Amino acid sequence: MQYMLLIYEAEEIWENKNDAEKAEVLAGHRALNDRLHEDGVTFTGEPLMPTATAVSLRRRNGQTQISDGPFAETKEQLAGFYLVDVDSLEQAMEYAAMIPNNEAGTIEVRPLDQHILLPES
Amino acid sequence: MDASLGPILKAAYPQVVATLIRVLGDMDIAMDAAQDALVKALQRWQVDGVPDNPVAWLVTVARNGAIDGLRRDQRVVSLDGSVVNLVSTPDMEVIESEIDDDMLRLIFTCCHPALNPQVQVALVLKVVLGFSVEEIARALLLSTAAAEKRLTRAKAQLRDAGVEYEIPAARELPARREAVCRAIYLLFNEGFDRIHDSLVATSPLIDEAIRLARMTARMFRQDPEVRALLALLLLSTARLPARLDAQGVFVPLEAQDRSRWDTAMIREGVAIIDAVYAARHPPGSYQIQAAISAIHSQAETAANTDWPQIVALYERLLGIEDSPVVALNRAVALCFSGELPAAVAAMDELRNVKQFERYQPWYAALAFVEAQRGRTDAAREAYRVAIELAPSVAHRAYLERCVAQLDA
Repeated sequence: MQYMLLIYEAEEIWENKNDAEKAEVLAGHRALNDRLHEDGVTFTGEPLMPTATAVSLRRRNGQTQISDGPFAETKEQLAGFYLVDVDSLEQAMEYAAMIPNNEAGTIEVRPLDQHILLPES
Repeated sequence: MDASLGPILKAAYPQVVATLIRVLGDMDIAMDAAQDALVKALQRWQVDGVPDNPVAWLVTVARNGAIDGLRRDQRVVSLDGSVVNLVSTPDMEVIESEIDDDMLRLIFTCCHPALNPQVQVALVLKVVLGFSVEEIARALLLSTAAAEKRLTRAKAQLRDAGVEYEIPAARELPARREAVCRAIYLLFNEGFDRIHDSLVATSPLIDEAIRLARMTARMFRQDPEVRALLALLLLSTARLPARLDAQGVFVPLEAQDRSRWDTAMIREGVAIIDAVYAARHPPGSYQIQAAISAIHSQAETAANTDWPQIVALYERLLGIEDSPVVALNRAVALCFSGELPAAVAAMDELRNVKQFERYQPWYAALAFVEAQRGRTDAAREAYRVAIELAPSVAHRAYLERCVAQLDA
């Protein structure tokens, strides 16, 4: 089963960290990466640039509207993600708990819906 | 101290102060109360953990502490109705949208047009960023007494002008937003000026200006100019490590070692300006300046730079702000794009600009263009004045090197 581990955190938290504090968080991600490799888990994960770099698209009345900036106005922003292929939700949560950002933010764990199939072309 | 608490408290501070000023009605009382609450948070959070909403926690604790203090001082009887009402208000629920509004109010108040820009910067440092008077003095190269005086004057000016602690009406917003951007830009330039001769690649003022720009960009979600300002600051800061050579001599953009530029900052700055342009806003001044900076940042060499595009962008900028400084930049860009006759004509039009009489960049640019067209004597004379007006030892050393090359 594949799970998305979505990392939500107020962007100011990262911005206000000094280099040593940032290094500590990155070391936590390094440790998680190493652990996933050790356990033989297939996974990927990336950080995202801040929401100031976002573009949002909406299709309304047949017209695509483009606006710069993020879609949602929220206190915490999507900061990055992991996608892990594991046997159970418990395992996914175990890895999620190792994501260092959970001290100031929130990790949302969601299974991929792999039963939705695209129609034949 | 738990290392994770510092960034959380630092991020919360401006929002806490902003709300407290509204609730308590007094800037000084609000800042004292916020400080007390931060101290309490450091003690409590290490034991109990960080609360779900740190800002609401801090505001509640600070407000309760301030009211206790007021009661003790017996000052509560002499206060106006709003504070007395507040004492009887049950525990406050801080609504998140209210906090955002409070932040906007605070920034608008600090950047009120009734204040002169220098005073705005001091006030932003104190109130929004939580600098102490000593830190402000150090940052702005003032004595502590002078910094104190500037802050006192700021508060007096706010009082005299009858400035309301409020969000301006919708029709005033664009003009006020410009004042906010200008104050951030000024803060940034203050930081830039502090490190002229120094090999360090940043200064606290530059970092704080970027932090403030990020915060403001999040608040003015619909405003491409604020985001463009953030991109401009990032792209300018990215080049700082290359602006001096190993001997501490100034290196102009076209001669910089581009491998020393900060690639992470460039990636983010370019990504922001790409996003802003993708939404096809009518371009404003910061958008154009950031676009010019992005072109430089992405060029592999000075010769590879898309100079005609830069000339075109300066022309668009001239359409928005008809300033001789922009015209001068256009003239120099023309020279780099190989259009020497056009560059000379553009420079000739600027020769009698009053504003340029003691403007160092004018003489440096004039010397450069004269040298390009082989008028060595005219170039030497312009370099002489440019050296006399040089803002730093590093600039002087660079210009002297240019003169030596003329003679070679």
